[in-house]
Amino acid sequence: MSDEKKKKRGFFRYSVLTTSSFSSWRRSSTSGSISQSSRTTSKTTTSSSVTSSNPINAPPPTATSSSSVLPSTSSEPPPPASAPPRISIYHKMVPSKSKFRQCDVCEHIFIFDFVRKQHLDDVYACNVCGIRVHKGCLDRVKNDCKITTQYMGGILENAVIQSNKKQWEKPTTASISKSLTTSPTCSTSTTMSPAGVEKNVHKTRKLISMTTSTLDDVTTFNSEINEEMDEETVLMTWEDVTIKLTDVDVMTKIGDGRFGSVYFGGYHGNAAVRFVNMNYLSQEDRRADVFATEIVSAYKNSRHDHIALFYGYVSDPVTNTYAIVTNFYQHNTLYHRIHEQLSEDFDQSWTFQISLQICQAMSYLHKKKILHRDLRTKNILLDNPNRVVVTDFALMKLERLENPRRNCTLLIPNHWIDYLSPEIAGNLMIDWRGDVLFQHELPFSQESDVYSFGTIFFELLLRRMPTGCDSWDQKLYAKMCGQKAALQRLDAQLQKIDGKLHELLLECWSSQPEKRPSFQQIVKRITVQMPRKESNKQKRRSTAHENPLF
Amino acid sequence: MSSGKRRNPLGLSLPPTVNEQSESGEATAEEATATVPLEEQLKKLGLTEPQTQRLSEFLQVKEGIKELSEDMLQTEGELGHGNGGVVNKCVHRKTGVIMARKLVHLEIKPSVRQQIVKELAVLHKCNSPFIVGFYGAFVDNNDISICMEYMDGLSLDIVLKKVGRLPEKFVGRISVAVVRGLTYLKDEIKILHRDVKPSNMLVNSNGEIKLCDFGVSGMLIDSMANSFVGTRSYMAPERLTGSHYTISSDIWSFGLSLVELLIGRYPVPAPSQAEYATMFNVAENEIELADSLEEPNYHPPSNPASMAIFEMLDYIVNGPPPTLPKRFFTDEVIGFVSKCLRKLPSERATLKSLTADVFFTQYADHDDQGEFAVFVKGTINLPKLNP
Repeated sequence: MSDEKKKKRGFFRYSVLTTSSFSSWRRSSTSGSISQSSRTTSKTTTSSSVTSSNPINAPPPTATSSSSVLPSTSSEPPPPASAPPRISIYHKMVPSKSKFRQCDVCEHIFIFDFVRKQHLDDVYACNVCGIRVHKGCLDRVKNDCKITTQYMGGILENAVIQSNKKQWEKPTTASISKSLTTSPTCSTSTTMSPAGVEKNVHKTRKLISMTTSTLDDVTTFNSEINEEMDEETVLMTWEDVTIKLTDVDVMTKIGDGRFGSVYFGGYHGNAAVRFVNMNYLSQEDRRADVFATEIVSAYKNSRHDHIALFYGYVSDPVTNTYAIVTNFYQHNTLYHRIHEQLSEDFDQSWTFQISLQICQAMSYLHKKKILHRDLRTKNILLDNPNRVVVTDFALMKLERLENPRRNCTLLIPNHWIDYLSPEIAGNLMIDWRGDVLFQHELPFSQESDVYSFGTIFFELLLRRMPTGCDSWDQKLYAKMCGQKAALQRLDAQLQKIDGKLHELLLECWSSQPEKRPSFQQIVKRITVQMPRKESNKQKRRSTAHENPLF
Repeated sequence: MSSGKRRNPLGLSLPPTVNEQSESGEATAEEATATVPLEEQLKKLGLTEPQTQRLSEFLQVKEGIKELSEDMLQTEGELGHGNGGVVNKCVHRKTGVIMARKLVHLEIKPSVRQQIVKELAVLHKCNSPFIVGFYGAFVDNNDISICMEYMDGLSLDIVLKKVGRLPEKFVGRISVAVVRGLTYLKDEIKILHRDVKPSNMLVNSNGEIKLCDFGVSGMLIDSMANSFVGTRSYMAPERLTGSHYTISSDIWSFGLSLVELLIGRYPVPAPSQAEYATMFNVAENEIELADSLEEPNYHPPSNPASMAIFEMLDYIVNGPPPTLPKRFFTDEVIGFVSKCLRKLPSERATLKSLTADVFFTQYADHDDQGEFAVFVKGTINLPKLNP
């Protein structure tokens, strides 16, 4: 009896010590979580900005946080009751060697044998949020892995991209192959003790493959996520951007082009109505579908500060009327500003600023898998003297140049050859009668868009077109004969340019597409080479950001 | 473009040779107009009596047209279209004169437009039986109208589509007219044609052959240069690689046009023995090509049914020039076109050497008794061949 009393007193003392140590470890764990969360935030900054700039989107749903576990001294409280999360986010559980910890499910303390230095209990922890549970408690873990607003923004964006992709594109073999490859990779990362029960092995593998550690993993299961976000999904369907022609107040004509006419109009304020000519498709019943899949879908998913703001589209097969409605931009085209306005000495920083804006817009489009196909200064509008928006993307097709017809002649937009990359120009095919093969699709790519930007960059730097008034034969031949031949006549002009800009220009104009930089890379290089004035401003802002007193 | 020009005060929009000739030509022309009466000008050209008479008639009709404007012209139909724009058949309401009106749509500054019209005025000094007559030019909104003599036989590329191939004797007549037209432009007007091709050679039921669409307005050429890509190129190989324009370039274009007229198809890539065999319906071993030396290290395009426009240009520069098969054409015409189609400008024929060539002289010195006129009349109502 007295022995029993002694044992009881000793156990109590041990318990007090354990609790104290646990509190200390918990604090350390919390600190780690904050650090992890910080990394997560920076990782999804781009996604967040995309989400916040989308006026149509509802605000993203409130982030659900995992239930916090309070340290308890002696009694065993019942598990906390909480509402089930709106979205199932699985934990990524791996074996753990935590000491002096408490199970987050049953709240029993893990027993550690100090003599043999090993666990008496098998412990698992989540790689993402850090909860720890007994092996036997894995079945009872809630699918509420810690998530943040940034994650949700990224998830939503990817879900929308996948949704539209699935809706309008056939899955390619490469995509299927890629998704098959991903699964084994996840499986091989599993580490399980040999004594593991088969049932638990399957359970754990499933849990591991469905985690939030990377957005790609979540994207893989976007269909499930979509089901959880009916309200958000509806907002991104066609209904929200469909406009009846009767709702638009069409006023004066602004300009004509090979793809249709642009009118000044009213749609809840000033707007530009861009009527798109779909007559190049002789089958009338295909026009509405092609207009939607190839053109509207590109505009519908584009939200960027330097891309013309998309309001909606008009599609009326009965009257053969198809239009894109965007915000109205007061100022002229960049082409007009550079080539037609009375000679004005541009500030160098203006050139950098405009170039940077164009590349940021293009970087965004390429991330969205949208090709411009017709990037030229006439398709860049000035919103104010120091700000541009890119427009008229996803419209260019060789078939559109079929009318008007001319004998042995292809009428093209002015200066088109200058913007055409060699691999595109080399695909202008003719038959033995001298007719252009319009059905032969031109292989536009991200690299060909970069080449076009090279020409714009040249225009901004030197205020003229690269080849002036040479005849088409000379221009085409020089372009196809390679960079050296094409640029030898420009050499005197190019000498005026700063060395690094010269280098960037030639890389954009490389005859080999794979050697051209991506727009993302160009953005970085232009930012680095910004005139000192701009650099100082950025430095100052950066310093302020890092100052802990603010 | 305008900004660039303003920063280029010398105004070097034309190659130096053409620019210099153009300037001196204008001075000479003005001087000539001031001192030499029209009758003496015509006499100086050494024209035949019928040529002089028809030219006088044209000038008389032209003088009767006081005003040229959009309102004064009534369009009767389209004659054709090409890289220059659309050509319509028009009637002058007041005088009833039938004209060919070329309509060029250009969105350019008004000052540039006016300069083009001013440059086109040089055409008023063009009085030759080998150059299409010019009534005048005017601007209406963004359109420039160039009013020319109506040639009822239309252009030779259209004639080819109707008859397939031209007989050698008619190609001889055409050669004489073109060479004399180019000589007139070079010696009297001080300009180069710069766009010699079958579609710029016009014929009429009088048997006359005249050139049109030559490079009188450099500004017009520059303004149009960025708005089209051709599917046929008559440009000389040295021009494609960046050399300046010379009369040799026109002679290459002329030679290429002659081959096209003779065989009925654009000769780039050059027809092979097999193609000629099919063309003349004989066995392949009967086709013997002159100068059959193949260009080293050049591989012709693999698929003749379709080719890239660039491949066509590359062939002109690096491939062998087209040649005519023996026994199906006389040695004279084979030699004549061969002289025009040398790859090197320095080896190529000159206008002077062409006029001394036996192929040229045999047609220049003999009247064809209206045979070509009968031929043209016969083609006027023919439909185009299916292919």
